[in-house]
Parts: sequence; C-alpha cells; structure tokens
Amino acid sequence: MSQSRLNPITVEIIGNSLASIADEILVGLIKSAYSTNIKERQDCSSVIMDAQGRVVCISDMSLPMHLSSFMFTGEALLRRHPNETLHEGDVFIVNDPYSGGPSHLADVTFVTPVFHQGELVAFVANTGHWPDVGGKAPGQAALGDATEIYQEGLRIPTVRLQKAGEVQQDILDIVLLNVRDPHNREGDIRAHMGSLMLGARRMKELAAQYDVYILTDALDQLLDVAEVKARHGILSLAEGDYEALDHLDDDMDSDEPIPIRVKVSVRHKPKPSIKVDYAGTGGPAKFGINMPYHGTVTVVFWVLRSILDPEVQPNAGFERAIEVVAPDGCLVNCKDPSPLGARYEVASQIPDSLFLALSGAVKKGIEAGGHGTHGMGFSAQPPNSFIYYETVGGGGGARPDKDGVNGVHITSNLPIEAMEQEFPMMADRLEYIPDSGGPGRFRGGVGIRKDWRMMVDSYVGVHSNRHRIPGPGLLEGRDGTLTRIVRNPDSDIAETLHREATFVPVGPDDVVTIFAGGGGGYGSPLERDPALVAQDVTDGLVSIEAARRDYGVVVDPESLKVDSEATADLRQEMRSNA
Amino acid sequence: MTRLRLGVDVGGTFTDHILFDEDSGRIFTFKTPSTPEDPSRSVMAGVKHFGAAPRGLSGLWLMAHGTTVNTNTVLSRTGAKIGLVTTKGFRDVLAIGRQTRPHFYRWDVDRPEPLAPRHLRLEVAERVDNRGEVVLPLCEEDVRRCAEVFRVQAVEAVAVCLLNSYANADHESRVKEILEETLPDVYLAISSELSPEFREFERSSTVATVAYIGPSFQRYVDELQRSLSNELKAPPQLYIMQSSGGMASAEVEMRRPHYTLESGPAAGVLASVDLGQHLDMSNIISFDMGGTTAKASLIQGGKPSIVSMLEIGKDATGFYGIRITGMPVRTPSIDLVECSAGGGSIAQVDVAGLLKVGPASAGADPGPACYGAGGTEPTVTDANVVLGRISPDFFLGGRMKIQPELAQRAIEEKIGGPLGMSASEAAQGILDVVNANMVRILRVVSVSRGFDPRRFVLMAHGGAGPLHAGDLAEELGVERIVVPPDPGLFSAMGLVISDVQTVASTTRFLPADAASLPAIRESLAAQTEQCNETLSEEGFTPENQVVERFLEMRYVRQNFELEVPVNGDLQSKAELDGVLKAFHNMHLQSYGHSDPNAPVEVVNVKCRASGLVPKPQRAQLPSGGPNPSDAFIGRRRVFFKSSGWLECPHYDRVKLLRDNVIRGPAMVCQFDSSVTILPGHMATVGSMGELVIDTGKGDVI
Repeated sequence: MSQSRLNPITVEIIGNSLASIADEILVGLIKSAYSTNIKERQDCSSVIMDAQGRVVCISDMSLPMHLSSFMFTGEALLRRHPNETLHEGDVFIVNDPYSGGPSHLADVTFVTPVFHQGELVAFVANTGHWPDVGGKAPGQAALGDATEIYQEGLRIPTVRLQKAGEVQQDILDIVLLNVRDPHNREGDIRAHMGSLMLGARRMKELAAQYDVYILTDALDQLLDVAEVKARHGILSLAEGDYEALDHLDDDMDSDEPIPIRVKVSVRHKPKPSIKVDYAGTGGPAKFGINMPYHGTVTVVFWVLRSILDPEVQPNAGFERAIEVVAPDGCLVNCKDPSPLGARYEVASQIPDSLFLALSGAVKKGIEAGGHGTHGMGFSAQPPNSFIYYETVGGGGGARPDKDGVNGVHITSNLPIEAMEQEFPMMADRLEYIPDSGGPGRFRGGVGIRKDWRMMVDSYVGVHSNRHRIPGPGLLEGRDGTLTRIVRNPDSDIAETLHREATFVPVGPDDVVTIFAGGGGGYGSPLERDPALVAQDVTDGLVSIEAARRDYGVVVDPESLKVDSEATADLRQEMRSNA
Repeated sequence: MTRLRLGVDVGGTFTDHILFDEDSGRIFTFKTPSTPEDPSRSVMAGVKHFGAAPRGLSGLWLMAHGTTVNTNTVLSRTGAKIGLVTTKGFRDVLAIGRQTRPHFYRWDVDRPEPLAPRHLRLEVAERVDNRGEVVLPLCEEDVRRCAEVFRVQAVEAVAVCLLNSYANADHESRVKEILEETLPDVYLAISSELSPEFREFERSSTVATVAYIGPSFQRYVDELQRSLSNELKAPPQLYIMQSSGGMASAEVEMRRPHYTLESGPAAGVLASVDLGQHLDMSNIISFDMGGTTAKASLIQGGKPSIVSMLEIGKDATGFYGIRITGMPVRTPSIDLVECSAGGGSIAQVDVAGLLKVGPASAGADPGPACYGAGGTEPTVTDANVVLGRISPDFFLGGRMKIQPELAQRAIEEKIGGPLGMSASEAAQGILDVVNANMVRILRVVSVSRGFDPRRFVLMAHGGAGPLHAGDLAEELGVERIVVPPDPGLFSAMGLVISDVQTVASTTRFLPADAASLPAIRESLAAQTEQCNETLSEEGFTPENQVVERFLEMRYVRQNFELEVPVNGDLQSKAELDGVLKAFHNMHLQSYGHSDPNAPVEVVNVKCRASGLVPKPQRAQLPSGGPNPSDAFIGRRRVFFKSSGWLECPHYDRVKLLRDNVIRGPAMVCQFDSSVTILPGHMATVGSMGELVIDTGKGDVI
C-alpha cells in the first residue's frame, strides 16, 4: 500500500461522489433506453475509471458480472488510443471480448474520457446487454450451436463512435446495419451516450471542485483502500488450500460433463492473499458456454467480495490481494475464436464451486449450490419480427442459518404485462415448483415454472445449464432439482428441448415451458425443524409425500399438522438405515 | 368564537402539535414523546394539553394529522391476516417480484416475505389480454371457493389483482361483488380501483399492502375519532396528510390508506412551499435533518415534484426506485431522497482508516455520548458539541444537560486517536463526512434531475438542519438559506396549512399525435370529473376546486414516463405540439438527450386536484431594527473550518425581532435547534420570525 498522501476524510468524500456519479449514469441509461433488457430488466452497469483506465468505482446497481465489461477495457483503450490522441467529447464503443472488451458480444460497452483543463482525469463508462448484436440468429439466446465467435454477432473493437462531440456516422451505420431492430438499438445508443455525457459533466465538476492532483491522488488511494479491506477480510478466513469439483452439463458433441476444478489457497503471510487456480478445468467447450479470463476473474471477485466485505469496491486495488490462474484455452480462460455467448452458465457455477471449496474456510458457513442460469430467447421474422430475451430464476442454495432464496436470478425478469404489450406472446403461468428445493436442515430455494404461449410463428432458443448436474447440497444437504425446458408440456406432443436449443420453430398456441431447477440443501434433512416442514406443506412448496420421504416428517393430510410421534419413529428408522 | 386548526405530526421520537388561531394568526406549540404502542395517546395528549388551557379548544374545526402508523404496520409486520385472489397460474407473482436479490454482495439478504402467505394466495380461472379482450371468462365458482377458504381461515382483508385488469376491470369488479356478498365484513383492496396501471407485481404489491394496513388503519382512525368525541363537545373534522402533500378526510383515506405512507415528511415539504410563498420564493430545496435520517426534496415553481411509487422496506440505498428491492406501492408521493444520517449517527474509523458516519445511530437511547446516558460512541451531535455549535446551556432550552467532556472523550478516543488528529480536527472531519452525505442527497434531487442547486433557496429544518445548512450552502454554492421560525416543528406546520388533494389516473397507450386528441380529451375529462366528484364529497364548492392535468409520456419503446403538464383543453394540434415540446425539453434535462423526431406516446392520463382550504394570515413580528442586541446571550468559542476557533456571539431565537441583522460568525439558539451563521454569512429576521441567511454567493452566477 502506498503512503497515505491525502486526508482520509477527503478520500471518503470523493469516494462517495464517484458512487453517486456512477449511479446517475446508470439511472439515465435505464430511464431512457429502448430495449426491455435495459429499461425493464436493468441488464446494464456503469463505472468510473482513473486516467490510467483502471476501474475505481462500480455503481451499486451494476450487475456483478458486468465488471468484466470494464476490468481491462480502459487499459486496452489506452493501448489502442494513447492519451495524447483522446479528445473531450470522444465516446468509444466496444463489444469484442478478445480485443479488450466485455465478456460476451451482447454487453455493448461505451467509454468516455473526462478532461479538466486539458488534462485527462478519468473515464466514465457504461455497458448494456443488447437483445441482439447480429450474428447467425436473432438474439443471444438463439446461438447455442455457434462454434466460433464470428457467428455470434458483430465484433466491435474499441473505436470512436463520437469524436470530439461529433457522432461518427460511418461507424454508427456499420453497427446499425449489422443488428436486427436498428431503430431500437439507435435509441439505446442515444441512452448510452447521453448518460455518459451527464456523467462526464459531473466528473468535470468534481475535478474543478478539487485540484486535479487531489482527485488523482484520491482515486489512487481508493484503490489502496480496497486492497486493505480485501486483505483484512482474508484474515477472517482460515488459512489453507481448499478444493472443489463441479461440472457443466455437457458439450455439443458429447454427453460427458465438463469439469470445473478449483483450488483456493488462503494465506495470511507475508500479506493476506488468495490464489484461485483452475488447473484441471476442462474445455474449451464447443458450445458458446466458455468464459474469457477477465470474466472468470470478475465472478471470483463477486464471490470474494461477498465473503470478504460486501462494501468493498472490487476495483484494481482489490485485485492486488487476489490472484486468479487458469490454463490457457479452457472453459474459464477461452481464447479467440472460441464462442462465449452463453458464458453466464459458467458464471453461475463459479460461485457454487467456490462456495463448495470455501465451506471449510468461512467460519460462519456458506451457501449451497444454486440452479444455474436460464436464458430464454424468442424471435420472429418479418412481418411479425420481434426479439425478446429473458432470464428465469431458479432456487438459490440453502444457507447455514436459513433456506435458500426461492425463484431468484441475478437479473430481473420482465413483467408479464410489459411483455404482452410488446411481444406477440402470452404467459400462462409463473409459479414456484413444489419439491424442487434440495432437502436439508435448511431447504434449497424452489425453482420457477414459467409458460409462454405463442401467438405467431416464432422461434425459441435457449441457453440453460444444470440440466444434468444439479446444484449441489452442502454438509448432508441434498442436491436441488434439474432444469427442463419443454415444448407443449402436459400434452401428447410434449418434447423436451436441448439446453442449448437453437431456432426451434413454434407456432400459434404452442407453449414453451421452463421448469427451472431448485437450489441445494444445507445440512441433514432429518434435522429440519418439523414445524418448518409442515409450513412448507401448508404453503404447497413441499408435498406430503416428500415431507415423509426426504425429511422423515409425517404430516396429517387433513389438519396439515405434524404427527410428532410418527415423525420421531420414522426419523429414527431413517437414521439407522442410513 | 375563533376558528382553530390543529396540526399533529407523529414522528419516531416526538409528536408535535401546532394549534393555529385563524383569526389572530397566532400559533401555539406542544411537543410530547411519541407513544408507538398506541400512537393515538400522544396525539390526544396534545388535545388535552390545549383543551386545558384557558382559551380551550372550542372553535376547533379541523385537525390535520401526519402519521407513520401505516408504514410502521408494514415494517413491524403487525397488519391484517390477508388473502390474495389472482389469475390462475400466477399466485407467486407477489413472492417472485422481479426475481432478484436485494443486494448483489450480501447473499444473506432476502426479498421481503410477501404480505400474503402462499396458502392464502388463491387463483381463479380467467384471463384478459393486454388490450382488455376477454380470453377466458371468469369462473365464478372459483371465486366462491376462494371466499370459502378465506372464511375458514378468518382472513381480515382480501386483495384482488388479476392480470391485465388495468385494461379491463370487469373480472375484478365481479370478483369484488362476489366477495362483498360472501364476506361482508372483510376489507377489500381491488387493483383496478387502486392502481389501474400495468406491471403486475407492482400492482399486486400495492393492493396487498392496502389490504394489510387497511383494517388496522380503520381501527386507528375509529379510535382517534372516538377519543376526540369523548374529549371535545364538537369534535373537529379529521384529515390525514397524504404522501403527495395534500390532505384527505379520514373517511376517504380509509379506502386508500397507502396514500399516507410518507405522511410526515410530505408535510415538511409542504411547509417549505408555503413559507416560500410568503417570502416570494418558488425555487426551493427543502432539507429536513433529524436524529436518524435526512430528507431532501426539490420544489420548482412553487411545486414539489411527485413520483408515482414508493418502496417499503428497501434494503439498499441509492437505487432511486429503479431496481426494486422492497415492497413497491403505487401511490403519488412527493419525491423525497433520504439518507440514514442525522444528529445521532455514529462515527467510526473503518479497517482501511477511512472515517465513516452512519448508518448506525445512537437513537434516543443511549443517545449521543454527550447526553451522559451511557453512550460512548461519538455521534454527529457530539461533534457539534465539541466544536461549540451546540451550547450546553441552551440545548432543548436547558431542559436537558449535555456534557461536552463526554463528547470530547468519545471523539478523541474513537476518531482523533486512530487518525492522529486533535479532537476538533476529528470533530470537523465527522461534520465533513456527514455533510458530504447530505450534499449527496441534495445533489440527487437537484443536479441529477437536471437542476442547478445554486438557483434554489435552501430551506433548512428538522432539529439538525439549521446547524448544518451553512456548510451545505457553501458546498453547493447556494445563495440563500431560510430557517423557519420553528424548524423542529416544521412538519406539523405543514399540516395546518395544507389543502385537500386527490389524484386520478388511467393507463391509455396512445400515440402523441392529432388523431389521439379526442381520446386524450375524453380521458382527461373523465379523470377531471372523478377528481371533482371526490372533492365535492369532501365538501368543496366548485370555485374552491383546482384541477391540474398531466400526460405521462415517453418515446415509443421506452418504459419510463415523464409527467408533462397540460395547459388548455388540447383542442388543437398546436396545443399538443406545445406539450410535446415540453416533453422533449424535460427529456433533455433529465437524461442528457432528446430526439424531437422520434415518435412519442401517452401512457397515463392523470389529474391532480386540490380543494382549497382558506389560508389564514400569520401574525407579524414587530420590527426591532437591525440591531439584535436585545436577543444577545453571550460569547462563546465556536470552531469554523475556514477560520478555526472564533469567539462569537450567541442569540436567543425567540427574542429576535423583525429586521434584526446578524453577521456571522454567530449562533442562534432555540428550544430544539440551533442555527449556525458562518463567517461571511449574514442573517436577517423576517416578518414571521424566519431567518433569511445571505451566504454572499450572490455574485457567483
């Protein structure tokens, strides 16, 4: 850590100002964007970077995964466009993960340098998950069979979309020609750029309020602060090496699960540090479910921030205490031109494997495995053309002191009434699935069933994991249920879709249903308080049969009350059979 | 007989009463500890207090009440046992919400448990589509089956929210009829009546909340009215303050109790509007800083801005109502930005050596270290004591002794030591950090909304507001600060001057073009009529009814609307063009861009109407000339960031007279608040006793 140069009070105050500027950028983006993905589902984020392009502050509302849109973006921008070539009023656009951009093409990222009195003082940036970036099929979710990134959409390196306040129409034309629904993307672009202009103006005011060198020093010290907090948090973990193995379901040409192997080394000396090593992890996959290195680092930071100190900024200072190593060309460190559109599948399982590994290191205990991630994409060709993408929540892992969260995802769903206004589809159901939470002393969260009824000839595509390998339970807790996606369930023509199904035709009155899986349980189900089991039965989250079978709790079908004696006997018997 | 009005604001710590004599313009005040276990007790304590005084309470015709009773019911989970009726397949909408975690990095923080448990969320077969067409007729048998379950389960209230009912309310109306018939004593909350706007989770959450708070609110109001009847020969009309800054009669509020959720804070903003009117100031930032929270709100052109949704039990701050993490409730509400910092906020040095203030608060018990009640953590109040800004001799009028040495010790031990600073430097640091938090919310309501705070007057109230306002004005470049006569009782003041208000709104998705004009006019007329009806019910003659009309508009494909006022009758395309122009300008101001060529749509047609309550004149202070020496108390040392320790004069607020001028540095002390007048600032006492502080920034813009 560098020598403290500034009054800590000034650093705290400037840190607060950055947070509020980053918030304002995001509010501006969400409130004026055109895509449902941004305006309703808020699949977007914002940051402030220092003049060297290092992330200093990510806004509170930003999605954890989106740190990857910025982590190396600023430095890559400066390598390509050195400081002296930058102008006030420049806006850069980038979406290519292999040339210093985000972690998949859909997260289109915008960056603006901020100048004060002619000097570069910072960058402001935002990113948004566009419903479409061109490529072989409409919308990201229809890309399961892409075998290289070129098929996944338009690749944009870090280029100027606006130069010194002037929109570069040539670049804009290329982008708009290559995406479906260009009118709406143009609306999104205006929202991205408009909100960055607001943010840049606020940063200039901040620079004017302090001297440039004070602002620069404060940004530097905010990195030091994150480093100190990270290292301090590491001291609360027990030293040691911890390993875990989880699997991603399968690959395009193989039913063999792909291993995600992780070793976490926690050290208190010479300085508290953590090394996360993915040696032994499989891949790269043929499916677009690979994660580039900076995406993997992002998710590791997300998990470690939540364990070490939920308030710490996962910035370039935090990075000093955490080392992430992964073999070149594997599932968690894919290389050009590996496809990676559905990289969030890996992102959803990195926390599960880290939690599994660290369950011995975190004194207060840790969460069991979750349901993965499930992206559903619907689209149609003209004249009914539309593109719609949504993620569906499943069950969260149970916790050491309470049940897992029911029906949860890191990104928002789309209100059904908003969907029905914009797209030719109706929802038939949105409900919890009984008996989907992994049994345990604390039950895994239950999954969600959602049914979409088509009204016009359309296509459905999906990106979804944990169809073969369930969210793991912890400490005798059982696994959650698997996810299934079915066309026309409850009918004679029911057909289970592949988890990476692409371009599946569906017509009027066809129903597409996801049964999103549940989370893993925590602790032995035989130790669950029978009253909680009875409550779950009353609420229809656990069936009477499952109460008996999984928890050894006998519930009277009429009164829904626990038969204490029968329960004690049954549990005794189950324990002795175990 | 004189006509009297009583304003009663029940806050977390104190219940404030203001009795207003309409004829003489005189004001009488009473402050008593709140009684959370039965809030009507502290309300009645004031009624009894004034009733016992020689002038009595005959002539009391109106009691205006600000209450947090409904918010508390939800937060403490002490509301009714409720059921929910919804469309088949959708009973978990209320529980799933937006399916996100409230906090990305706190995996142990969950969404709030829904107010209706799963086994009481029942479904009926029916479906209408987004255009209001019936896709599946309502199965009335299902409704009766639900009613039977609710009867057996002894449910006290039922919320009804069917999909797309904003587009066609027929099914919900029929469900209501059947429930009224089968469950005559059960309180009903129907979504198409209470919130006929799209987004099913927000609508469900709104009606569930109404059902949850309705029965207990009804009991509270009944109890209060009974007590008033027992106490007074002629009980006054009871009005309740709404979050939107206008009153409604208790009878009306019982049907829509969610309108009162931010009752108290709204009254403070309203008082700012009113005082502004008297002073001919229409652009104001209302700033209320109390013991545990601070609230800021922007008033432009004499009007506060109104948002259409609140969230109860929100875990994270800074999400601006965009990412929903609590229980959303659709109700018009003054746009207030809040932060958890106030006089009682605790300061600490974190592991990285940064100074943090709040959100933990010392509360009333044990309170700041200087209270000598066992508190050892340094608070903002302790910092003010160490810096001489709160004088031991005048705190709460000397009723409560404060011990500066305890404040000094807490700050030295917990802050000064670890940071290597003197006690005064550390205390100033605490103020700097808490002021930065305050500046943040003040900027959120101004700069983030596209307004320059330097063009606004800072109206500082709440117990701690006037202490900090000078520093905040410096930071923001504000030219003038106004400190009202009784800053600690300002919300109660807002109650006695409030008009009666009602809102009507409907979702229409219409292109903003000439072809839609007939439909827009028709909707405006219907909403206007509804407002007029409500106000007539409240006893207002047509000449005392004022209706404001708005279109909520957005670019086609956006999902957030801006509220654009409509002047005139929209008879012509030219009038519509005027409204559109205002929309583009608002968009540019709010989000940094606009596109006059992009298609615009009207989403909601809305009316806000006021029933005008006569505004009595307040008594004027006699002039005392510029010299304030009659109010002079003495000189004491006060620390100022710019100039260090200075001997500065202290004045007694109640002895100041109109036209008195006080040049900073100086302190003005009063019962429950102190005013800091910084070096270079100059305060003038106005005709109602308000202090208008000129910060000397007038030449900046």
